[in-house]
Amino acid sequence: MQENKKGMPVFVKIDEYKEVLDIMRLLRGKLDEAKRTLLKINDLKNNEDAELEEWRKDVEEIEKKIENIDDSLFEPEGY
Amino acid sequence: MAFLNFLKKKKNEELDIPPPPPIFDYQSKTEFPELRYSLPEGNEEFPPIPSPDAGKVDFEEIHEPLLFKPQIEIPPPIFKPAKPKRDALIEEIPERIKEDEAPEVLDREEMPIGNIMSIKGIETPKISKEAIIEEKKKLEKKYDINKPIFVRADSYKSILSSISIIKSKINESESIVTRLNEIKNTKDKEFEKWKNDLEEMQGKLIYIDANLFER
Repeated sequence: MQENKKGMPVFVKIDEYKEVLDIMRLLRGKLDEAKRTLLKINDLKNNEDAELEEWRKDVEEIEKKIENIDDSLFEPEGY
Repeated sequence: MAFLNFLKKKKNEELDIPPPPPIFDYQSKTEFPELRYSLPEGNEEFPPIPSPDAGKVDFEEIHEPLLFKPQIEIPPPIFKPAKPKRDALIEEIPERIKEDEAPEVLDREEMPIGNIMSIKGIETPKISKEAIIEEKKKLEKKYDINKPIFVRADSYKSILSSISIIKSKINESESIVTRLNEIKNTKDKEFEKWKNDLEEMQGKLIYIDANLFER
């Protein structure tokens, strides 16, 4: 605890106490909102990851099919 | 091995061609045959419907010499209750909801402040104006706000340090948002490029398809 030379506690005067309280309340509300936004973005990211995974699998499958076609076209039987 | 010669295929020997399968007569097979049977004349009417009491068995009449009367009763067939008429339902609805029972509608001023900056789909807690005033009154009762208020110097110092930390965190958050925005823009560009590539691939595939299968 901060004390003066005589050992008495020191206080600081707050002029706009009401406004400070209001701002604190507002800040708390904004923080809650930010938390909800983060959760929402996280959900979106998870959805995006799932879609990207599906896309990756599709690309792999396409790659395999192209390889098959490639083999069939460039190594024809009886040529 | 000579004894296995019968397994070997003889050269220049062709197998006989099997006979062709019989031609399927679609027209005659798909049509239904004519109905050869008909209902006997005079029996067109249905038998009469038994009455609900038809299921009950009077054991007294059938078996008089029985020593005891069995307590078995076959339940009558269950009938669904008739639906109430529409007019009767309308009569039950009160003519007009009383004003006292009607839900309170908030004024524009009482709407939550958070809604202004909120994102679509995210609900913000609704704080009515009355609740704020009530809380202020409570505070005024607890601490006389109108009088000068003092905070301990050490608490004041910790408040100041907390505020500086909050400020730096907000700046950091801003930079994170900027970076996320950049990532999103890059991602959008990549998706656009991929979309164009896909369209090009589709065109090429159509061309190959036409070349390979239209011969």
